[in-house]
Amino acid sequence: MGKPFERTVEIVNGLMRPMAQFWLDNPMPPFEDYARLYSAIINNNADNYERVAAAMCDPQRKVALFEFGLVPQPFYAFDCAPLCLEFYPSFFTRTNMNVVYEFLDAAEQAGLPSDVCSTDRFIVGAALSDELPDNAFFVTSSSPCDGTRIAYPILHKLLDCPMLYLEAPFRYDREAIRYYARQLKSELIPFLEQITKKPFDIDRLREAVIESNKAYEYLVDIHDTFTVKPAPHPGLLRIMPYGSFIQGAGHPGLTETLKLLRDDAVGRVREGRTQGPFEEKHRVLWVHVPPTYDMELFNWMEEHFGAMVVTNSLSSTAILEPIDTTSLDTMLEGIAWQGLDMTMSLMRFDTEKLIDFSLHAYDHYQCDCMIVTQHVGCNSICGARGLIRKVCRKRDIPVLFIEFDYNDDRVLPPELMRTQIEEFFTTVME
Amino acid sequence: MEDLRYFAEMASELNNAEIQAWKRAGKRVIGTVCSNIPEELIYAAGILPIRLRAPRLQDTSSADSLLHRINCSYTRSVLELLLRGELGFLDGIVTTNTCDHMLRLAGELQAEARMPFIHYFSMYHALGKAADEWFVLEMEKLKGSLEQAFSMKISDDDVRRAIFVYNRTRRLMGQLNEFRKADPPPLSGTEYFQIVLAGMSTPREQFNDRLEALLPLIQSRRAGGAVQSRLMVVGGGCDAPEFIEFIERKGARIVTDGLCFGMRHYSGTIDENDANPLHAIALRYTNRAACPAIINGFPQSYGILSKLIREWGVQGVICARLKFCDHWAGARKLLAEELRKDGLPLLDLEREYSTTSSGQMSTRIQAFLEMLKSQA
Repeated sequence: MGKPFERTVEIVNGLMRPMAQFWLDNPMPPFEDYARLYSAIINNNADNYERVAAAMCDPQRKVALFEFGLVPQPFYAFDCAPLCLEFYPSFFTRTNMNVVYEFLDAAEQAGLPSDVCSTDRFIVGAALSDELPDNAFFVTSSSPCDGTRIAYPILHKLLDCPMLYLEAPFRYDREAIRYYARQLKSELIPFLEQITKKPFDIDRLREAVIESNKAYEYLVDIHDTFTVKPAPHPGLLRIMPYGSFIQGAGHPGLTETLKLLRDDAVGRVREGRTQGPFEEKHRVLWVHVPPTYDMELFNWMEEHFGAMVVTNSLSSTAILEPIDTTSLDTMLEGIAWQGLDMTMSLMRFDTEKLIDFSLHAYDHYQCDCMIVTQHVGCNSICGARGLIRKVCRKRDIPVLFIEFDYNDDRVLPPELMRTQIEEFFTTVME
Repeated sequence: MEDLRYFAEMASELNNAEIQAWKRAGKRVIGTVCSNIPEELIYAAGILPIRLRAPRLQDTSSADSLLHRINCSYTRSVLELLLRGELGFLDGIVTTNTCDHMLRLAGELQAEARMPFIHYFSMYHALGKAADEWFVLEMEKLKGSLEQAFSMKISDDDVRRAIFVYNRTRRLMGQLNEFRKADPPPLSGTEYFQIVLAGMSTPREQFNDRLEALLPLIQSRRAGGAVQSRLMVVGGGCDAPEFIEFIERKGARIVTDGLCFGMRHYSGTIDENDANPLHAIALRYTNRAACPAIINGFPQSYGILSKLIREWGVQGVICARLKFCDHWAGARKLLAEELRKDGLPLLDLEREYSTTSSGQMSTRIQAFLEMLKSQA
């Protein structure tokens, strides 16, 4: 057992920072043109983890561990350092798979079955291995999935630190959003006041929301550029802005990073130079999670088949308006909407709505095929398979289903996944 | 026992003789998929709510092609029944989203069922004041949906009458359960579960009358010698009396449970004097032992289970959870830790919905019972 967050900080200092610098010093062909963007987004990610590490040692501050179903702005309003735990496994899958195996094994040895989602097993394993940050508290909603709903009560017992559960509605109308917003007001704010021993200051919240609105506008602009053919920016760069938003919305560092990406993408569109290193032949909607352990997959798809993942069903369709900062109620309603309708929280949608949402993205980004991953820990996306297939047949959409574990390359190694993708693009899509 | 045969027969088929008679009388039947769906409201509409089960179904290959092998076998079995046309006697289904399996089953039922009424009842997943509020909102939606689909009005008095009938069932079931405290209990766990399932599959007034008549007979029944071990069974999707019988044949007696096809279905009564009957119904659902799908429900649930364990003299607990059920996987872990503190052993049996016996389960149950015996 090491010290809390020790391995995370080691990776930030020993790998992420040097990698960000490496991109600037030795831009890797054929992506030289995007080097500063890669560097900026890696540094933004590293900054986020460093802020968490700093808050751990600061008696005046707290680390806010939160889940999908929430966004960071309320935590910034109380000067906390937020960490979205759902993203935490991918920090390690991209940098050190041995840590991932270790945490998964720790959770299983403690009694969590191997068929529970690897994200939740990882988080429980990280807690058992003392890697989660201390000086922390948890806030989670009951969305999005079964795995979340079992992992957090177990974490609560393991860590014995303050935890707040919010009741996430599994509907998506205004009434449902207001229901959730009322809980943010009556439960989250008093909880944060109690934990941080700081009174709620509406102006601090407004500052964070205004900051996140700026970042959000950039995010929408970035996504809009992906509707252009060919789409600007290579593979992973298209996915990363959205994930960064969920982790850092409300922090000026994120706004600055997204502005850089946005200015670059918009500039390319204006100047008619969106063509990247590889010719765009196919536009792919990636449905559900991509493999986090194969960073090169998207670039490989572009290089070998001209297949550009231009959007992702969980993270590339900006469907929201900026948050209205008129009053506390309007801000909380906007925060509720963002928390519930972004990323994995979309999985609470009923199947018809979930498919409609994906089809909307498919049409909006002018895709010509879908890759649907069946993460073996996700009962929800796997259970939607039949209806997705039916809709795709009806609309004549070529679709590839890949069964894998998005955090664990032992379930489907990268080579075997690439074989399936290769067969798809060299047969169905030829 | 002759009087118990009726309950066994009603439990053995989904579309049993009572349901067929009800239908012949021109009345409607609605299937529900989860004990979190407030049946009282359906009954208030003059419609018979029955909990969907798939007795003895072994092959789910058609459903497997729509759902996924990692979806639990209960949801695949219900879908299989629908695809085979075996739910054709239903006038509707109320689906829900208790867990991700149920959520996706709801999608398939909505797409595949050709029935006049398919309603999606959106469940809460965290206890608290918000959940009570949400439950009432959802009941109002269900009520409106029933009224629209069947061109009727459900008055507060209708709801109160249904509450009265359901409360009577729960009180009678409570009395039956009290008998199981005796050593030996006058009825086996298998017999008890047959009664439990019959209650979910027959018109309630009729069931109540039958049960009321049965109680004195059970009370005066002379049971055999003391049983070796008194067990509790918990878990999800466990509705086969054959499975309970399989355990009891080894010398144990199931004296209480924490099943949604059992204690959770019948526990607690509804305040009949509440000015808002929907609010009263909501409180009964949120105050009973929480389903493991409720993110913060374990402390409440364990409080109730531990009381049952003490009062019914339980010596060991069997957790019969369905494969791929994350919620019961988590609850089992939390439960095992609490039981360990209380010095009570737990046997974790992962099973498929249709599995009522197997060589491996037999060996494990036998070993568990021997361990209990050696501890006695």
